[in-house]
Amino acid sequence: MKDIFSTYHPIINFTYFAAVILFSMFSMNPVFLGISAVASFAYSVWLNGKGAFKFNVMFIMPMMVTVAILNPLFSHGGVTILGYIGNNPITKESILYGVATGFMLASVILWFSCYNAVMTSDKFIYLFGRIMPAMSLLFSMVLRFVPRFKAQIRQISNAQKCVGRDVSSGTYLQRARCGIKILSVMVTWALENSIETADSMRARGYGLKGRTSFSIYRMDSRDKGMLALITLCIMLLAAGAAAGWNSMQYFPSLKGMEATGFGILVYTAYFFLCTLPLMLDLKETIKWKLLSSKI
Amino acid sequence: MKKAAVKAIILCLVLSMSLAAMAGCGLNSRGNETDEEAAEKTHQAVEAQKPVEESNKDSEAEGEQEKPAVIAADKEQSTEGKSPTAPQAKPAPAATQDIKVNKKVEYHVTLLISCKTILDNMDSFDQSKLEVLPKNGVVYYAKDVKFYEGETVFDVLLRETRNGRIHMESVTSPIYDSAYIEGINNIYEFDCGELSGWMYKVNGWFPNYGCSRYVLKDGDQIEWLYTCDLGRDIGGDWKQQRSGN
Repeated sequence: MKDIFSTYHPIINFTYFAAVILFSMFSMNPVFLGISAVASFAYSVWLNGKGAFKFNVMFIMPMMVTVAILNPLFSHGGVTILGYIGNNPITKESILYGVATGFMLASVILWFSCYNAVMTSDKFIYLFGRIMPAMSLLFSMVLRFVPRFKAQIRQISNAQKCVGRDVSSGTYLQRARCGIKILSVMVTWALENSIETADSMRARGYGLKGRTSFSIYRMDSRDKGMLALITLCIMLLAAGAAAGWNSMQYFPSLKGMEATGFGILVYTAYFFLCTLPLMLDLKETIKWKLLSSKI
Repeated sequence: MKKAAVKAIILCLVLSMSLAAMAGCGLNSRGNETDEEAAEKTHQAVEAQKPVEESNKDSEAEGEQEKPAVIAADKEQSTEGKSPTAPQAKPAPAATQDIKVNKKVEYHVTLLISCKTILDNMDSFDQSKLEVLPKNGVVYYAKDVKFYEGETVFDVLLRETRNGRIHMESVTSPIYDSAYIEGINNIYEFDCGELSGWMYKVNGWFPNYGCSRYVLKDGDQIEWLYTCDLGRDIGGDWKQQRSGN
């Protein structure tokens, strides 16, 4: 599925994710947590498909449950005593705080998985290449390192399989020997490749003065409008956070602010911000359906 | 040739591992021995301390003799080096493993839990905790409560806070072989400045050891007091107490 939000200018992508991740990290209000968790879950599934759904259910959900169970075992504050473990009380407040922390952690991880899908390394280099050229290059190379090595190892082991030296057959000793052989080929390749990379970079004039770089990103009116919208949301949320709308008291007793006019506005702004990419995609899909049905 | 070399290396490995294992076992067994010895010694010390009430003079000599043993035993257990010592006629701290509760014999003590000092230091008190602070600062009014022979200050506090549905959190620190009270009624240590926390007082004396090592006697008066100034504001100044004795 094509994601429309990814086609916006990198500045917009980056601002959006920075804002959403930061607000998710520092919000313990259940309304904020719920909005953030649901939106990030939906967006990550939308971006990464079935695999993401599997990952979310198999890994993120157990993590949430674990956090919710572990917190009351270590934190015993709170006025509502439900029972005792050992000498210390288990309190309602502590359990709910654990649940809230679980939601917070889950949504931050999910937002990061969305970030990885949207902010590709070329976008990152485009944004930060000027400010910190060496760092951003290093960063994108390091991020590429693991998937690249994985692909190369697969290639090598397939080649070895063709000549009958594979880890999938033979005695344990033979398998180990083949594995070590593959590893040795891998290391040789990595060393050679690093020299090649360095040569290639030098040949293209890396580090010379006065070089310009090409990028296909431009800021058009659509991007400007979106940037203004996101900035407006962030300002509203920042004002709301300053007034304490994104937080809530858990200890010694649960105490939240009652949702009045401004509070509802802040909640709406957060809902809007979190579901923005999904809404864009939805709008685009509906538009496409309508247009194609007319023909 | 190659195989022989591999064999030799494996032999060396196995030898060194078995050596290490043996050394570890030796250490362990020695450690256990000293522990048992220490326990026995402290046990003797406690036994010696018990008849203090009846005959002060008689036990004094004995107590003097036994005290170094207690200190030595404590030194092994605590990294502090300083072992808690009680002034004369006050009970010495009991080691946890020596405390035996006899459920058949019932005694009574008075228990009081108060955090009145917070009322004088409201500016440094955690504002979110205002709702759990009693108006007059008394969490638990002085009351006669029963306990069983051999129980400690901690046992009584635990039972009464549970019965009264009062929140109480404690942590056991192995270094001091004792429980530490972090918070009562959701008023925790450091909630009223960085020098604040819970202290306990038995018969007007602030024991300089943990509450789960103080074995109670019939008719003792326990007070749990919240201090905002390391005990100075409730008369439990550690330095003064030391120089006074």
